[in-house]
Amino acid sequence: MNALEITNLTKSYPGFRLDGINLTLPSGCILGLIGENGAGKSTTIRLILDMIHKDAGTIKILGRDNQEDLCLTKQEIGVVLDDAGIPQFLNAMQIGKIMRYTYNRWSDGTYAGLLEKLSIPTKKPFKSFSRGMKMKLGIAIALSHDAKLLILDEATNGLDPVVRDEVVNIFNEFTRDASHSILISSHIVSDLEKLCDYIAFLHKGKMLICEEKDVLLETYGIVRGSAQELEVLDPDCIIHKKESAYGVEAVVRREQIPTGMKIGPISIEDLFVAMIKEAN
Amino acid sequence: MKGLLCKELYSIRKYGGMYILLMLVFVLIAPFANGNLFMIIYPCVLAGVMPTTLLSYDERDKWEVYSAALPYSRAQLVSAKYVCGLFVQIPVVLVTVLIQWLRMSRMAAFDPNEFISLIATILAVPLLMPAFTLPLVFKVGVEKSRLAYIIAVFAGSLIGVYVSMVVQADAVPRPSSVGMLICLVLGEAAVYILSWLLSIHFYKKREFN
Repeated sequence: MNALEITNLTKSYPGFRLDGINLTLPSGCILGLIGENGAGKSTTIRLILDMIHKDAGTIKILGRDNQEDLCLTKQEIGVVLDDAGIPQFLNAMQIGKIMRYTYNRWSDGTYAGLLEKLSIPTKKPFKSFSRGMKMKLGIAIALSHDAKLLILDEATNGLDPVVRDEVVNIFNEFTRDASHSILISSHIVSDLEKLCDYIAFLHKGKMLICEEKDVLLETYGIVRGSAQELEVLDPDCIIHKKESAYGVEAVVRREQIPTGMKIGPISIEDLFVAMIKEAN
Repeated sequence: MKGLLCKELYSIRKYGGMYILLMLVFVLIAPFANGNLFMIIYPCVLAGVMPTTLLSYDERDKWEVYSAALPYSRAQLVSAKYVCGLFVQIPVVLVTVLIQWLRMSRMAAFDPNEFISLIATILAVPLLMPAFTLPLVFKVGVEKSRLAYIIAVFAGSLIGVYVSMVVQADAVPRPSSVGMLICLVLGEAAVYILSWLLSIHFYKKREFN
Protein backbone atom coordinates (compact mmCIF):
# COMPACT_ATOMS: atom_id res chain seq x y z
CA MET A 1 0.00 0.00 0.00
CA ASN A 2 1.10 3.56 -0.64
CA ALA A 3 1.20 5.86 2.35
CA LEU A 4 0.45 8.80 0.15
CA GLU A 5 -0.85 9.17 -3.40
CA ILE A 6 -1.33 12.61 -4.89
CA THR A 7 -2.74 12.98 -8.36
CA ASN A 8 -2.98 16.17 -10.38
CA LEU A 9 -3.15 18.36 -7.28
CA THR A 10 -3.85 21.97 -8.16
CA LYS A 11 -4.29 25.09 -6.09
CA SER A 12 -4.23 28.69 -7.26
CA TYR A 13 -3.60 31.88 -5.35
CA PRO A 14 -3.08 35.34 -6.79
CA GLY A 15 0.52 35.19 -8.02
CA PHE A 16 1.07 31.49 -7.30
CA ARG A 17 -0.20 28.22 -8.72
CA LEU A 18 0.53 24.71 -7.52
CA ASP A 19 0.22 23.05 -10.85
CA GLY A 20 -0.95 19.45 -11.25
CA ILE A 21 1.31 17.82 -8.66
CA ASN A 22 1.69 14.04 -8.81
CA LEU A 23 3.49 12.24 -6.00
CA THR A 24 3.55 8.74 -4.53
CA LEU A 25 5.09 7.70 -1.24
CA PRO A 26 5.24 3.91 -0.78
CA SER A 27 4.81 2.54 2.74
CA GLY A 28 8.03 2.10 4.67
CA CYS A 29 9.79 4.88 2.78
CA ILE A 30 10.88 8.46 3.34
CA LEU A 31 10.13 11.05 0.68
CA GLY A 32 11.89 14.39 0.72
CA LEU A 33 10.06 17.33 -0.76
CA ILE A 34 12.74 19.77 -1.81
CA GLY A 35 12.22 23.28 -3.07
CA GLU A 36 13.23 26.87 -2.61
CA ASN A 37 11.26 29.12 -0.30
CA GLY A 38 7.88 29.71 -1.93
CA ALA A 39 8.13 26.66 -4.21
CA GLY A 40 4.89 25.19 -2.83
CA LYS A 41 6.14 22.68 -0.22
CA SER A 42 4.05 23.99 2.65
CA THR A 43 1.06 24.48 0.34
CA THR A 44 1.31 20.81 -0.69
CA ILE A 45 1.52 19.67 2.94
CA ARG A 46 -1.41 21.85 4.00
CA LEU A 47 -3.47 20.53 1.09
CA ILE A 48 -2.71 16.97 2.20
CA LEU A 49 -3.98 17.80 5.70
CA ASP A 50 -6.96 19.72 4.22
CA MET A 51 -5.87 22.85 6.05
CA ILE A 52 -6.38 24.59 2.72
CA HIS A 53 -8.83 23.49 0.06
CA LYS A 54 -7.65 22.09 -3.26
CA ASP A 55 -8.95 23.37 -6.60
CA ALA A 56 -8.51 20.00 -8.33
CA GLY A 57 -6.90 16.60 -7.94
CA THR A 58 -7.06 13.74 -5.46
CA ILE A 59 -5.13 12.99 -2.29
CA LYS A 60 -5.10 9.54 -0.75
CA ILE A 61 -3.55 9.09 2.68
CA LEU A 62 -2.98 5.50 3.87
CA GLY A 63 -5.39 4.36 1.16
CA ARG A 64 -8.20 6.76 2.13
CA ASP A 65 -9.30 9.90 0.30
CA ASN A 66 -8.48 12.94 2.42
CA GLN A 67 -12.02 14.24 1.97
CA GLU A 68 -13.48 11.21 3.77
CA ASP A 69 -13.10 10.65 7.51
CA LEU A 70 -9.99 12.79 7.68
CA CYS A 71 -10.19 12.98 11.49
CA LEU A 72 -9.87 9.19 11.58
CA THR A 73 -6.95 9.30 9.14
CA LYS A 74 -5.26 12.08 11.13
CA GLN A 75 -5.19 9.75 14.15
CA GLU A 76 -2.54 7.88 12.14
CA ILE A 77 -0.56 10.94 11.08
CA GLY A 78 2.10 12.71 13.10
CA VAL A 79 2.55 16.32 12.05
CA VAL A 80 5.33 18.82 12.67
CA LEU A 81 4.79 22.23 11.12
CA ASP A 82 7.33 24.93 10.41
CA ASP A 83 5.77 27.16 13.08
CA ALA A 84 5.24 24.58 15.78
CA GLY A 85 1.91 26.18 16.77
CA ILE A 86 1.92 25.14 20.41
CA PRO A 87 0.52 27.71 22.87
CA GLN A 88 3.41 29.69 24.34
CA PHE A 89 2.45 29.30 27.99
CA LEU A 90 2.11 25.49 28.00
CA ASN A 91 4.88 23.20 29.19
CA ALA A 92 5.67 19.75 27.80
CA MET A 93 3.68 17.98 30.53
CA GLN A 94 0.55 20.03 29.85
CA ILE A 95 0.91 19.48 26.12
CA GLY A 96 1.20 15.75 26.79
CA LYS A 97 -2.07 15.87 28.70
CA ILE A 98 -3.85 17.66 25.83
CA MET A 99 -2.49 15.16 23.31
CA ARG A 100 -3.50 12.20 25.52
CA TYR A 101 -7.10 13.37 25.08
CA THR A 102 -6.53 14.07 21.37
CA TYR A 103 -5.00 10.85 20.03
CA ASN A 104 -6.65 7.47 20.62
CA ARG A 105 -3.32 5.63 20.72
CA TRP A 106 -1.32 8.21 22.66
CA SER A 107 1.41 6.68 24.79
CA ASP A 108 2.52 8.59 27.88
CA GLY A 109 5.49 6.22 28.19
CA THR A 110 6.72 6.85 24.65
CA TYR A 111 6.29 10.61 25.09
CA ALA A 112 8.16 10.66 28.41
CA GLY A 113 10.94 8.55 26.84
CA LEU A 114 11.28 10.92 23.88
CA LEU A 115 11.31 14.00 26.13
CA GLU A 116 14.17 12.44 28.05
CA LYS A 117 16.01 11.22 24.95
CA LEU A 118 15.77 14.62 23.25
CA SER A 119 16.57 16.51 26.51
CA ILE A 120 13.34 18.50 26.43
CA PRO A 121 12.50 20.19 29.75
CA THR A 122 9.11 19.12 31.06
CA LYS A 123 8.23 22.11 33.25
CA LYS A 124 9.48 25.07 31.20
CA PRO A 125 6.92 27.00 29.12
CA PHE A 126 7.09 26.58 25.36
CA LYS A 127 7.92 30.27 24.87
CA SER A 128 11.26 29.81 26.61
CA PHE A 129 12.33 27.08 24.15
CA SER A 130 14.87 27.67 21.38
CA ARG A 131 13.68 26.97 17.83
CA GLY A 132 15.50 23.65 17.86
CA MET A 133 13.86 22.69 21.15
CA LYS A 134 10.42 23.64 19.77
CA MET A 135 10.99 21.42 16.75
CA LYS A 136 12.14 18.55 18.98
CA LEU A 137 8.99 18.84 21.07
CA GLY A 138 6.90 18.78 17.89
CA ILE A 139 8.74 15.64 16.80
CA ALA A 140 8.20 14.01 20.22
CA ILE A 141 4.45 14.67 19.94
CA ALA A 142 4.34 13.32 16.38
CA LEU A 143 6.08 10.11 17.44
CA SER A 144 4.05 9.39 20.58
CA HIS A 145 0.74 8.23 19.19
CA ASP A 146 1.73 5.26 17.05
CA ALA A 147 1.47 7.22 13.78
CA LYS A 148 1.88 5.38 10.49
CA LEU A 149 2.77 8.49 8.52
CA LEU A 150 4.85 11.45 9.63
CA ILE A 151 4.37 14.73 7.79
CA LEU A 152 7.19 17.12 8.61
CA ASP A 153 7.26 20.65 7.23
CA GLU A 154 10.78 22.07 7.54
CA ALA A 155 11.11 20.11 10.78
CA THR A 156 14.89 19.91 10.79
CA ASN A 157 15.45 23.63 10.20
CA GLY A 158 17.02 25.35 13.16
CA LEU A 159 18.44 22.18 14.65
CA ASP A 160 22.15 22.09 15.41
CA PRO A 161 24.14 19.36 13.60
CA VAL A 162 24.27 17.04 16.64
CA VAL A 163 20.53 17.21 17.30
CA ARG A 164 19.82 16.96 13.56
CA ASP A 165 21.82 13.74 13.46
CA GLU A 166 19.89 12.48 16.49
CA VAL A 167 16.58 13.32 14.84
CA VAL A 168 17.63 11.69 11.57
CA ASN A 169 18.39 8.51 13.53
CA ILE A 170 14.96 8.65 15.16
CA PHE A 171 13.32 8.97 11.74
CA ASN A 172 15.38 6.08 10.37
CA GLU A 173 14.35 3.97 13.35
CA PHE A 174 10.71 4.93 12.74
CA THR A 175 10.79 3.68 9.15
CA ARG A 176 12.29 0.33 10.12
CA ASP A 177 8.67 -0.73 10.48
CA ALA A 178 7.49 -1.36 6.92
CA SER A 179 4.11 0.23 7.63
CA HIS A 180 5.70 3.55 8.67
CA SER A 181 6.44 6.35 6.20
CA ILE A 182 7.65 9.93 6.27
CA LEU A 183 7.01 12.93 4.04
CA ILE A 184 9.51 15.61 4.92
CA SER A 185 9.96 18.99 3.28
CA SER A 186 13.01 21.17 3.48
CA HIS A 187 15.06 23.63 1.51
CA ILE A 188 18.18 22.25 3.21
CA VAL A 189 18.93 19.50 0.72
CA SER A 190 21.81 17.93 2.65
CA ASP A 191 19.37 16.96 5.44
CA LEU A 192 17.17 15.06 3.08
CA GLU A 193 19.99 13.51 1.08
CA LYS A 194 21.04 11.45 4.10
CA LEU A 195 17.55 10.49 5.08
CA CYS A 196 15.33 9.94 2.07
CA ASP A 197 14.54 7.01 -0.19
CA TYR A 198 12.57 9.19 -2.60
CA ILE A 199 13.19 12.75 -3.68
CA ALA A 200 10.75 15.24 -5.20
CA PHE A 201 11.85 18.62 -6.52
CA LEU A 202 9.29 21.42 -6.47
CA HIS A 203 9.94 24.65 -8.29
CA LYS A 204 7.51 27.55 -8.58
CA GLY A 205 4.56 25.26 -7.96
CA LYS A 206 5.61 22.63 -10.48
CA MET A 207 7.00 19.17 -9.78
CA LEU A 208 10.31 18.94 -11.64
CA ILE A 209 10.98 15.35 -10.68
CA CYS A 210 9.82 12.70 -8.21
CA GLU A 211 12.01 9.61 -8.17
CA GLU A 212 13.89 7.13 -6.00
CA LYS A 213 17.08 8.75 -4.68
CA ASP A 214 19.29 5.88 -5.86
CA VAL A 215 17.76 6.04 -9.34
CA LEU A 216 18.53 9.76 -9.48
CA LEU A 217 22.12 9.18 -8.40
CA GLU A 218 22.47 6.41 -11.01
CA THR A 219 20.80 8.43 -13.76
CA TYR A 220 22.68 11.69 -13.38
CA GLY A 221 26.34 12.55 -13.05
CA ILE A 222 28.85 15.34 -13.51
CA VAL A 223 31.24 15.69 -16.42
CA ARG A 224 34.18 18.05 -16.08
CA GLY A 225 36.50 19.25 -18.79
CA SER A 226 37.32 22.06 -21.15
CA ALA A 227 34.64 23.70 -23.31
CA GLN A 228 36.11 21.89 -26.32
CA GLU A 229 36.00 18.48 -24.63
CA LEU A 230 32.38 18.92 -23.71
CA GLU A 231 31.35 20.01 -27.21
CA VAL A 232 30.97 16.34 -28.20
CA LEU A 233 28.10 15.93 -25.74
CA ASP A 234 24.56 15.71 -27.06
CA PRO A 235 22.88 18.97 -25.84
CA ASP A 236 19.82 16.90 -24.83
CA CYS A 237 21.82 15.03 -22.19
CA ILE A 238 23.01 18.20 -20.46
CA ILE A 239 20.81 19.32 -17.60
CA HIS A 240 22.90 22.35 -16.77
CA LYS A 241 26.33 23.65 -17.61
CA LYS A 242 28.53 25.86 -15.46
CA GLU A 243 31.48 27.57 -17.05
CA SER A 244 34.37 29.05 -15.10
CA ALA A 245 38.01 30.00 -15.62
CA TYR A 246 38.96 26.43 -14.66
CA GLY A 247 36.78 24.74 -17.24
CA VAL A 248 33.25 23.53 -17.69
CA GLU A 249 31.19 21.41 -15.31
CA ALA A 250 28.05 19.84 -16.73
CA VAL A 251 25.30 17.93 -14.98
CA VAL A 252 24.36 15.19 -17.42
CA ARG A 253 22.21 12.12 -17.99
CA ARG A 254 24.66 9.24 -17.76
CA GLU A 255 23.11 6.97 -20.39
CA GLN A 256 23.61 9.52 -23.17
CA ILE A 257 27.30 10.10 -22.48
CA PRO A 258 29.76 8.64 -25.01
CA THR A 259 31.58 5.54 -23.76
CA GLY A 260 34.94 6.27 -22.24
CA MET A 261 34.07 9.72 -21.01
CA LYS A 262 34.65 10.05 -17.29
CA ILE A 263 31.48 10.79 -15.30
CA GLY A 264 31.70 11.82 -11.66
CA PRO A 265 29.05 11.13 -9.03
CA ILE A 266 26.52 13.84 -8.30
CA SER A 267 24.94 14.88 -5.03
CA ILE A 268 21.21 15.52 -4.72
CA GLU A 269 22.03 19.11 -3.83
CA ASP A 270 24.02 19.63 -7.06
CA LEU A 271 21.28 17.98 -9.10
CA PHE A 272 18.64 20.16 -7.43
CA VAL A 273 20.59 23.36 -8.09
CA ALA A 274 21.21 22.33 -11.71
CA MET A 275 17.56 21.56 -12.34
CA ILE A 276 16.37 24.80 -10.72
CA LYS A 277 18.87 26.88 -12.69
CA GLU A 278 17.85 25.20 -15.90
CA ALA A 279 14.16 25.70 -15.09
CA ASN A 280 14.83 29.38 -14.45
CA MET B 1 -12.90 17.31 21.75
CA LYS B 2 -11.75 16.53 25.30
CA GLY B 3 -8.20 17.55 24.36
CA LEU B 4 -9.43 20.88 22.98
CA LEU B 5 -11.43 21.61 26.13
CA CYS B 6 -8.41 20.69 28.24
CA LYS B 7 -6.36 23.22 26.24
CA GLU B 8 -9.09 25.88 26.64
CA LEU B 9 -9.16 25.36 30.40
CA TYR B 10 -5.39 25.87 30.52
CA SER B 11 -5.87 29.05 28.42
CA ILE B 12 -8.62 30.36 30.72
CA ARG B 13 -6.42 29.69 33.72
CA LYS B 14 -3.50 31.53 32.10
CA TYR B 15 -5.17 34.46 30.30
CA GLY B 16 -8.55 34.62 32.01
CA GLY B 17 -7.18 35.10 35.54
CA MET B 18 -7.36 38.90 35.43
CA TYR B 19 -10.82 38.77 33.81
CA ILE B 20 -12.10 36.41 36.50
CA LEU B 21 -10.66 38.63 39.24
CA LEU B 22 -12.34 41.70 37.69
CA MET B 23 -15.61 39.80 37.36
CA LEU B 24 -15.45 38.83 41.03
CA VAL B 25 -14.71 42.41 42.09
CA PHE B 26 -17.64 43.78 40.08
CA VAL B 27 -20.00 41.00 41.19
CA LEU B 28 -19.14 41.73 44.83
CA ILE B 29 -19.37 45.53 44.66
CA ALA B 30 -22.48 45.61 42.43
CA PRO B 31 -24.92 45.12 45.38
CA PHE B 32 -23.62 48.35 46.89
CA ALA B 33 -23.98 50.34 43.67
CA ASN B 34 -27.69 51.14 44.07
CA GLY B 35 -28.73 49.07 41.09
CA ASN B 36 -26.28 50.77 38.70
CA LEU B 37 -26.77 48.77 35.50
CA PHE B 38 -23.14 49.14 34.37
CA MET B 39 -21.84 47.63 37.61
CA ILE B 40 -24.29 44.73 37.32
CA ILE B 41 -23.67 44.04 33.64
CA TYR B 42 -19.90 44.56 33.40
CA PRO B 43 -18.89 41.07 34.68
CA CYS B 44 -21.23 39.64 32.02
CA VAL B 45 -19.53 41.78 29.33
CA LEU B 46 -16.16 40.38 30.45
CA ALA B 47 -17.54 36.84 30.29
CA GLY B 48 -18.90 37.59 26.80
CA VAL B 49 -15.52 38.65 25.38
CA MET B 50 -13.68 35.61 26.80
CA PRO B 51 -13.96 33.39 23.65
CA THR B 52 -12.60 36.17 21.41
CA THR B 53 -9.78 36.85 23.87
CA LEU B 54 -8.78 33.16 23.78
CA LEU B 55 -8.98 33.14 19.98
CA SER B 56 -6.65 36.11 19.76
CA TYR B 57 -4.01 34.26 21.82
CA ASP B 58 -4.50 31.17 19.63
CA GLU B 59 -3.92 33.30 16.54
CA ARG B 60 -0.75 34.81 18.02
CA ASP B 61 0.63 31.38 18.96
CA LYS B 62 -0.47 29.83 15.60
CA TRP B 63 -2.43 27.23 17.55
CA GLU B 64 -5.31 27.66 15.09
CA VAL B 65 -2.96 26.44 12.31
CA TYR B 66 -1.56 23.54 14.33
CA SER B 67 -4.97 22.48 15.62
CA ALA B 68 -6.22 22.29 12.02
CA ALA B 69 -3.61 19.54 11.51
CA LEU B 70 -4.80 17.57 14.56
CA PRO B 71 -7.56 14.93 14.40
CA TYR B 72 -10.39 17.39 15.06
CA SER B 73 -13.12 18.51 12.70
CA ARG B 74 -13.64 22.21 12.08
CA ALA B 75 -16.98 21.89 13.90
CA GLN B 76 -15.18 20.58 17.01
CA LEU B 77 -12.62 23.39 16.87
CA VAL B 78 -15.41 25.99 16.78
CA SER B 79 -17.51 24.19 19.39
CA ALA B 80 -14.63 24.14 21.88
CA LYS B 81 -14.69 27.96 21.94
CA TYR B 82 -18.48 28.19 22.29
CA VAL B 83 -18.51 25.54 25.03
CA CYS B 84 -15.64 27.14 26.95
CA GLY B 85 -17.47 30.47 26.58
CA LEU B 86 -20.42 28.87 28.34
CA PHE B 87 -18.08 27.52 31.06
CA VAL B 88 -17.36 31.14 31.97
CA GLN B 89 -20.69 32.78 31.08
CA ILE B 90 -23.02 30.43 33.00
CA PRO B 91 -21.35 30.76 36.43
CA VAL B 92 -21.03 34.56 36.00
CA VAL B 93 -24.74 34.84 35.10
CA LEU B 94 -25.79 32.57 37.98
CA VAL B 95 -23.69 34.44 40.55
CA THR B 96 -24.83 37.85 39.22
CA VAL B 97 -28.50 36.81 39.32
CA LEU B 98 -28.13 35.34 42.81
CA ILE B 99 -26.45 38.48 44.17
CA GLN B 100 -29.03 40.76 42.55
CA TRP B 101 -31.84 38.60 43.97
CA LEU B 102 -30.28 38.88 47.44
CA ARG B 103 -29.88 42.66 46.99
CA MET B 104 -33.44 43.18 45.76
CA SER B 105 -35.05 40.84 48.28
CA ARG B 106 -33.49 42.90 51.09
CA MET B 107 -35.18 46.00 49.73
CA ALA B 108 -38.48 47.05 51.27
CA ALA B 109 -40.45 46.83 48.05
CA PHE B 110 -39.24 43.86 46.03
CA ASP B 111 -40.48 44.28 42.45
CA PRO B 112 -40.61 40.85 40.77
CA ASN B 113 -41.15 42.45 37.35
CA GLU B 114 -37.99 44.52 37.72
CA PHE B 115 -36.09 41.41 38.80
CA ILE B 116 -37.32 39.43 35.79
CA SER B 117 -36.34 42.18 33.36
CA LEU B 118 -32.93 42.38 35.04
CA ILE B 119 -32.44 38.63 34.55
CA ALA B 120 -33.31 39.03 30.87
CA THR B 121 -30.65 41.76 30.52
CA ILE B 122 -28.04 39.82 32.52
CA LEU B 123 -28.57 36.78 30.29
CA ALA B 124 -28.59 38.75 27.05
CA VAL B 125 -25.19 40.39 27.41
CA PRO B 126 -22.83 37.38 27.72
CA LEU B 127 -24.83 35.32 25.22
CA LEU B 128 -25.56 37.88 22.51
CA MET B 129 -22.20 39.66 22.49
CA PRO B 130 -20.22 36.59 21.37
CA ALA B 131 -23.16 35.43 19.26
CA PHE B 132 -22.88 38.53 17.08
CA THR B 133 -19.10 38.80 16.99
CA LEU B 134 -17.77 35.22 16.85
CA PRO B 135 -18.97 34.27 13.34
CA LEU B 136 -16.93 37.13 11.86
CA VAL B 137 -13.93 36.22 14.01
CA PHE B 138 -14.12 32.62 12.79
CA LYS B 139 -14.52 33.80 9.19
CA VAL B 140 -11.53 36.13 8.92
CA GLY B 141 -9.59 35.78 12.18
CA VAL B 142 -9.28 38.06 15.21
CA GLU B 143 -6.78 40.47 13.69
CA LYS B 144 -8.78 41.15 10.54
CA SER B 145 -12.08 41.35 12.36
CA ARG B 146 -10.82 43.67 15.09
CA LEU B 147 -12.33 46.85 13.64
CA ALA B 148 -15.66 45.17 12.94
CA TYR B 149 -15.52 43.68 16.45
CA ILE B 150 -14.97 47.09 18.06
CA ILE B 151 -17.83 48.55 15.99
CA ALA B 152 -20.09 45.64 16.98
CA VAL B 153 -19.28 46.00 20.70
CA PHE B 154 -19.73 49.78 20.51
CA ALA B 155 -23.03 49.46 18.59
CA GLY B 156 -24.19 46.78 21.05
CA SER B 157 -23.38 49.05 23.99
CA LEU B 158 -25.26 51.97 22.40
CA ILE B 159 -28.28 49.75 21.69
CA GLY B 160 -28.09 48.45 25.27
CA VAL B 161 -28.03 51.98 26.73
CA TYR B 162 -30.89 53.05 24.42
CA VAL B 163 -32.98 49.98 25.30
CA SER B 164 -32.40 50.46 29.03
CA MET B 165 -33.42 54.14 28.72
CA VAL B 166 -36.56 53.21 26.81
CA VAL B 167 -37.37 50.43 29.28
CA GLN B 168 -36.77 52.72 32.27
CA ALA B 169 -39.10 55.29 30.67
CA ASP B 170 -41.71 52.50 30.44
CA ALA B 171 -42.04 53.13 26.70
CA VAL B 172 -41.98 49.40 25.99
CA PRO B 173 -43.36 46.61 28.14
CA ARG B 174 -40.77 44.92 30.37
CA PRO B 175 -40.72 41.16 30.53
CA SER B 176 -43.05 40.88 33.47
CA SER B 177 -43.83 37.21 33.74
CA VAL B 178 -41.85 34.02 34.01
CA GLY B 179 -43.41 32.94 30.71
CA MET B 180 -42.06 36.00 28.93
CA LEU B 181 -38.68 35.49 30.53
CA ILE B 182 -38.58 31.90 29.29
CA CYS B 183 -39.45 33.12 25.78
CA LEU B 184 -36.63 35.67 25.95
CA VAL B 185 -34.15 33.11 27.22
CA LEU B 186 -35.15 30.69 24.48
CA GLY B 187 -34.79 33.47 21.90
CA GLU B 188 -31.31 34.34 23.19
CA ALA B 189 -30.34 30.66 23.21
CA ALA B 190 -31.60 30.33 19.62
CA VAL B 191 -29.44 33.29 18.53
CA TYR B 192 -26.42 31.72 20.31
CA ILE B 193 -27.00 28.36 18.56
CA LEU B 194 -27.49 30.06 15.18
CA SER B 195 -24.24 31.94 15.72
CA TRP B 196 -22.52 28.64 16.63
CA LEU B 197 -23.75 27.01 13.39
CA LEU B 198 -22.78 30.05 11.31
CA SER B 199 -19.29 30.02 12.83
CA ILE B 200 -18.90 26.34 11.93
CA HIS B 201 -20.03 27.12 8.37
CA PHE B 202 -17.46 29.93 8.04
CA TYR B 203 -14.66 27.98 9.72
CA LYS B 204 -15.08 25.03 7.37
CA LYS B 205 -14.23 27.36 4.50
CA ARG B 206 -11.27 28.98 6.26
CA GLU B 207 -7.79 28.25 4.93
CA PHE B 208 -4.72 28.03 7.14
CA ASN B 209 -1.62 29.08 5.25
